[in-house]
Order: sequence, then structure tokens, then C-alpha cells
Amino acid sequence: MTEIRITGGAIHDPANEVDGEVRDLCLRDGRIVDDVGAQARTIDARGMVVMPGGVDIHAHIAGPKVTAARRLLSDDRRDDPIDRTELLRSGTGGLVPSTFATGYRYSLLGYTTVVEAAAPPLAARHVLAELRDTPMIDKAFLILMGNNQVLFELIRDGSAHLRDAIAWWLQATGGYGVKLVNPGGVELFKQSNGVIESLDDTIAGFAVTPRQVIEAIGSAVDGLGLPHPVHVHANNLGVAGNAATTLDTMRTLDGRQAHFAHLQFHSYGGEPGGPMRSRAPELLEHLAAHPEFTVDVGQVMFGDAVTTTADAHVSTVLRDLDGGKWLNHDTEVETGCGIVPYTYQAGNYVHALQWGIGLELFLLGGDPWQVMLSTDHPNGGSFLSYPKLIRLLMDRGYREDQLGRANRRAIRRTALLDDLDREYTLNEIAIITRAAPARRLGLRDKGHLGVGADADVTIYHDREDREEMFSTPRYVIQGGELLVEDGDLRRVQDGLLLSGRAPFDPAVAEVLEPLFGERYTVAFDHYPVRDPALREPARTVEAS
Amino acid sequence: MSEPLICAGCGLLCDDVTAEGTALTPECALGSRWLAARRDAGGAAASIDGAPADVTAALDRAVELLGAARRPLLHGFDGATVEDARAAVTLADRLGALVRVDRAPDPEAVARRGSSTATLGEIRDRAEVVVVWREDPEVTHPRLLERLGSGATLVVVDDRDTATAARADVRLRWAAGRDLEAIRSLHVLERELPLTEDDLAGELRGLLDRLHAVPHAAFVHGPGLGGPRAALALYELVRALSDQRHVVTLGLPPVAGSAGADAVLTWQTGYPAAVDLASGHPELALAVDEGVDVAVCVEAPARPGVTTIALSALPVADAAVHIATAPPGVAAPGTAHRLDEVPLALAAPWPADRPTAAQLLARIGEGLAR
Repeated sequence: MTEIRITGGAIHDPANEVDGEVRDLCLRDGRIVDDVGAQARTIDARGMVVMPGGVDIHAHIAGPKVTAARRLLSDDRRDDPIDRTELLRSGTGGLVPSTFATGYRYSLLGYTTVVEAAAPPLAARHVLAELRDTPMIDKAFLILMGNNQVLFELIRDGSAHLRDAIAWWLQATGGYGVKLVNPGGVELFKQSNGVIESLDDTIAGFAVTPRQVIEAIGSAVDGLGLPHPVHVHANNLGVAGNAATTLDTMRTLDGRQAHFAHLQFHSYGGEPGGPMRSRAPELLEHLAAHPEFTVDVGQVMFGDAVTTTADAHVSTVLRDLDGGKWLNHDTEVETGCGIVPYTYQAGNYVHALQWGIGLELFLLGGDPWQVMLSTDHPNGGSFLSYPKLIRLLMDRGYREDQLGRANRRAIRRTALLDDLDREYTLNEIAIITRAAPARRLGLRDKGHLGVGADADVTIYHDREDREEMFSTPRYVIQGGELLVEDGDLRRVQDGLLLSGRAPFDPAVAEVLEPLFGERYTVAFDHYPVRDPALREPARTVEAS
Repeated sequence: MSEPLICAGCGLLCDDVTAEGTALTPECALGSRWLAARRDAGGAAASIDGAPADVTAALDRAVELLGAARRPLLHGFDGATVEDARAAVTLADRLGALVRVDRAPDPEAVARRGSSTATLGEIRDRAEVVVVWREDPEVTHPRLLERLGSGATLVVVDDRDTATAARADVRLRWAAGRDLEAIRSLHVLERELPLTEDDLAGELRGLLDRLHAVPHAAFVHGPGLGGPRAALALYELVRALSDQRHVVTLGLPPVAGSAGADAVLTWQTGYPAAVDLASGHPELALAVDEGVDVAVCVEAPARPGVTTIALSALPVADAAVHIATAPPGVAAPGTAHRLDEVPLALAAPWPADRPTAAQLLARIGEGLAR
């Protein structure tokens, strides 16, 4: 029986309305408890900040596209080796670390749960095998459904089986939730290098529109009561003027629970092909009026990144801008994939505007429970840049210094020079990095420190330099075990696979099997992942 | 009685197959040979220096050899599963060994410029021109053309009269030595730059016209292309063509296990194909395996001249230690990656009381820890 008493720390547990109260926190057998015995190990946290373990609601850490990015970036990792030790596997870092390194580095950063945000269901076995080789963190993945030809047919026909089909797919893959990426647009790109101009464009060959796809799948996920609502990467990512599409997408889903990914990339005014400007304030206004919606920001950080997306058309745009490496992979029936290494430069108008829009989304008065932290790792920057981003939010002086380095013309087109003095509090940081993501994921045992919660706890030195503070937690405890102490990994564990599940009518298989036969080159019987070594041990979160 | 099977006789991993004896339906000579070799593998459970031994003694000897090795190598993976490869890289990390996926595609072209690829269904449903470049899938991947459908114009670049060439709608017959020149010339034409008029120019213009006339095309290529320079040139050409249409490549791996093993090596270390773990961390190892004194060969033929511990369903000549494994896809389940990277779960229609390479590698690791 492992028992720990953390004494004297300032507890930041916003889900339980605890804001810096100094008191003890007790852990036993992987859970937070009221009290522990006198023999419990004591961690002296006086002068330190105690938070739940970090929860990353949107990152790209495992699966075929991530490994393709590793292949593409083999020159990026040479200077960032990780040596094997008695405890650790070796690996390499860089923008897209190897699997073991990914687990270690998230843990060293104080994160205990991470969501892989875009997995092709056809590749679920690959995703699961990589997640099995990604230690420390608990992890989940979202399956791509916004360009699925079988679902297009069900939606077009107004089939009553749509909900069952979605629940079947989650069961077949071990996925946690449903992701839409450029709904309809990826299919159009694969058909003709085409793009969606309006949510009412017809997707050739299927007689459905992006709006119908968004509405039907969003409603189905909402109706199923899955732990996480539909997770939307809207159409026209990165295009000037795309805020209109984003607002249209939101209006299409009004009244239903939905999470909008990397909103920064979807908040642009202007005309396609012309100069961009910010429409972050309007989007925040819409968000404020719709508590059923949440977003993660997808902040870009100046420096190197690698765009890694199912929205393959975006990658061809970046390919043509940049002329550098480009990787494309089309997955039958389901999705696409594009990868382009990319550098965000402070002096570049567009990059600085993107950076500024991300900060506007954080700082213009939005409810932190609705606006969560992400860099869309590794698209806007590595997850390792989260501490720098936290400092930008908490330290106005630092932010103004950084603003001074960014393209002036771009920054003038944002609200950042309007005497924007907001500085995030520690509790607000705890909300955007753990409490809100956990709540939005429907992980009732995570993101808070109430009795009965998972004993996932991160303890930081309360340093004035918030980047330094959040880069190197003093202690990281996961599942009640002490994993990290002062920047060193002390213990390695596998972490859980988190799967979502809703009941469904098994007769849906009779509907799906002939559609699979027409479209897939894999037999229906061979599609579901059944191997316990890939799927267990898992924690299944049921629909409610 | 017929048994359903996912055939790992080649990288296509056909999953619509049934087997009666060793005869497959749909018929496939390569698949039948693959199955027959594994159903008849028999032989001793293990051997040391060619003499039958029990598995425990063979494992002890393997541990002894690896414990004393100065420069160990883990290699092969021709018929291995993802699970075997995960166990192999785990052991290699412990040993500080070299790891090489013997028949992996050369990673250089992808690492330098990237690539554009697609799964079989995408090519089947969209490509209107399929160019098979100096490969003979009718022999090496016998059901490839069937699985890509009959809708596309089949162009075969090959000066040999192969079975695939016999099915071509269009044949282009220059010699292998001119492939790089031909691909580069196509790229020059695509960019509308002046091309030196020679005997290939007319045929190349004709091919380019065909590609320009359709919204989707695919190039099927493999070792016949003759190395990374030609692969790089092909990827550059595909990239240029992709500006106005959708063009992809499909690589033909010579064996079924290499795609999965290469993916595992990449996700566990960050590098594909060949990785040196001797320094304590992964480094890309493209040079020859100098100084290797002990090799663990996983589901593949051994290297001549190296003391070899062979973990393989098939007999391996001249191995210091051989332990017979349950053949993946026949007697043992496991995951394999199809040539287009689609992962599939191999079944075990005829289970055997033999270990998998993954299990043996784990036991060797335990032995070394003792």
C-alpha cells in the first residue's frame, strides 16, 4: 500500500474551488484520500505550488503520421539524444520525439494525460502499438470521422444507424472520441486537390455537404453522450477570412456540445489570398454566448515546428510557400495526411499575426474553462514550449518584451497593444492546463484533487520566472507513484489507455459490412482491433 | 477443411484468402509456397552448431554469445511481426547493439524531400494511370494488379518481357541504366524547360501527356529503380506533377515483414532502417556493419561469416544457434503492416507449440539481466 502525505503546499484545484489554500494532500493506492497513516511517506511542499497533473487535450504524439514525421525529420533529432539508463529506454527528441522520449518528456513537464487528436481508424493497431511504447502518461486517441465515405452514405440517406455506427467505430478501434478534420474537404482534396468554399458545397459523388456532416456527426456524438463531445478542426484552416467559416460551423452546432481545436488557426479576417487580420474578438464573443462550446488555442511559438495534419490540403499550401520537405499520405475511405516542417518567424507578418491572435484568444477576457492551452503540438510548436507560453500569459513585462520583437505591423492589427494588462493567475493556469481539459474530456477522476480523484499531482517551486517554474516540476506523481523528482525520472510505468464507449445496436454490423465491402481493401471482420495486448489494460469511460 | 487466412507471402497481406492444405483461394502461387514452407517447417525445436538441442540450452548459449559480444547486431525481419520487432529493438537497446531491417526501403529519399503515398483502396478507386516502374508484381506481388482494379491504364517501364509487361496497355522499353535520366527528363518536361532531344524524348512526352490527361495517377516502384538517387528523382517528379493533379507512389517491399519492423524502429528510436545503439542512444547507421561479431537474425536468412543466433520459423543455414519459432500468420498471431502501411492482425489458423521470436527475444533479455 503506497501512502503519501504532501504537506504545506499551496493547493491550486480550481475544479474544487481551491485557490492557493495551504493544506495537506493525502494519497493512497493511486487515489486522493482524506487522510493517511503515520507511516505514509511525507513530501515537504512548503513554499511550493500543488496542482493536478497536466492534461493535454490536443496533441499529435502517436500513429502513422507521427512516425512519418519522424522519418522526414531524421536530421532534426541528431543533436537531441536521450541515453539509456538502468531505468530508461534510449531515444531521440527534437520536434517529434521517439515514443519513449515522448512519454518521459511529458512526465518531466508535469503532464499525466495526453490526447492524440487525430488517428485514422484504419491505422488503430499502429496507433495503439505506439501508445503502448509511450510510457508514463495516460493516453487516449480521437478517431477521424469527418471524411469517412461510409458515414457520408449514412448521412446522405438519413440513416437511423449513424449513432450506432459511430459507437461501433469507437469500440472497433479503442478510440476515445470523435474528430472532424476539414469535414468533407479532405475528401474533396483527394478527389481533385479541391477546397471547400462554403459549408453548403456538395461533396462530389456523395451528395452531402460539410454542413450536413458537421451537423449529423455532432448531433450523433451529442446524442450518444460520449465522455468527450465532437472535436472539430473546422474547414479552411489557415486561410485569410476563415473566421466566417468557423462562425458558420459554430452556428451549425449551436445547442450541441462541441470542442473546437486550435482556434487560432481559424480566427482570421480578410479575403482568401489577401492580407490576414484578427477576428479573435468576434469568436470569443460567440463563445461567451455559447457555454456548450470549448476551444483549445493552438498557439504558435516562434521557432521551428512541423505541421502534421489530416488536413492534407494545408500541407500543399505550405509546401508551395516553403519549397522544402513535404509528405502526403491518402488513407482510403477515411482521411488524408500532410506533413511539412515549418519555422514561425517573429519578423514575418503572418507568423506574428498568428502568434498575436493566439495571445488575444487567451487574454481578451474569455472564460478559461472554455479556452484551453495547446500549441497543437507539433504544429504550432513543441509541447516543450508550454512553459514559455505560460510565462507569456502570466508575466505582462515578459510579454511586452516579446511583443517588441514581433512584426510591428502585425501586432498593430491585434488588441495586444491596447493596454492589455491581464496576467493569468496560478489558478487560471491550472484551469487551462488540467481542470478544464479533464472536465471537457469527461475524465471525472482527473484534473482535480478532490477525494477519490486519481492521484495525479504535480508540485512546482513557486518561482518568479514562470517559464523556469513550469519547465521543471519539483515532483510529479501519477497514479499515486512518484515518477519525477527535480527533473529526474525516478520510476517508469506504462500509463493507462483511455477508451470511450457508448452502447450500440450490434445489428449495425449488417449495415456496415456491405458498405465496407464496397469501399475498403480490408475485410470487415479484420477491421476491429481485438488483441488484448494492444487494448488492455485500459480504463473505459462510458457514455452518460 | 478450408481455413481463412491473412497471407503474409508478400507485402500485400491479402485478407480475403482461404487455405485448403497449402492451396489458396483465390489462387496465388507465391502465397501457396509461403504457406507450404511454414506448414512443413518441422525440424528440431532448436539446435546448437547444427546439433539438435532443447530450447533452454539454446537460449543459454544465445545469452552466452551475446554476453560476450563486442559488436552485436539484430537484423532481418523479413517475416517478422510488429511484436517481434518491438522485442528486438528493446533487446538491442539493452545490448547497445546495431539494428538493421535488412529489406527496408532506403530512407534517404524520404528524409531529404518527403513523398506522396496512398493506400491500395485510394489507388484502386481514383488512379486512372498506373505506371509500374521496372518491377514485376505479377511475380513478386501476384495479386497487386487485381487489387488495384482494372480501371486504370497500365503503363510498364521495363525492357524485359515480364509477366507484368505482358499485361501492360502501354510499354516503355528503355534499359535500366537510363531510368534516372528518364525520370529527370520527365521532370524537366513537367517544368517546361528545354530538353535535349534524344531517343527517349518522344516516349517521355507521351507518358507525360497521359499523366496530364488524368486527375489521378500512381507510380509503383521498388528495388528495380536502382537506389536512392532514382527514388529521390521520382519523388521530386511526383511532387511537381502533384501541383495540378493527385499523384502518389506505391513502394513494393521485397518481403512482408519489413514495413512493420521499419515503423517500429522509427517510432522507438526516431530513425528508420538501420540504427546504432552502441553509444547509449540511437544514431542513424547507414554504413556497413563493420566489426559485427554476433548477430541475432529474426525471421530471415543469416549473414554469412557472422556467428548467428537465428530465431526463425524456417531453417537457417550455418547458425551457431537456431530456435524454431511458430511461423507468424500460420502458427502464431501478430501484427503486420501491409505495403501501404495498413496494419493487420495476422491469424494463427494452425497453432503450434513453439515460441514466437518476440517471446524468445524477451527471454534472452531476461537471461542477460541475470
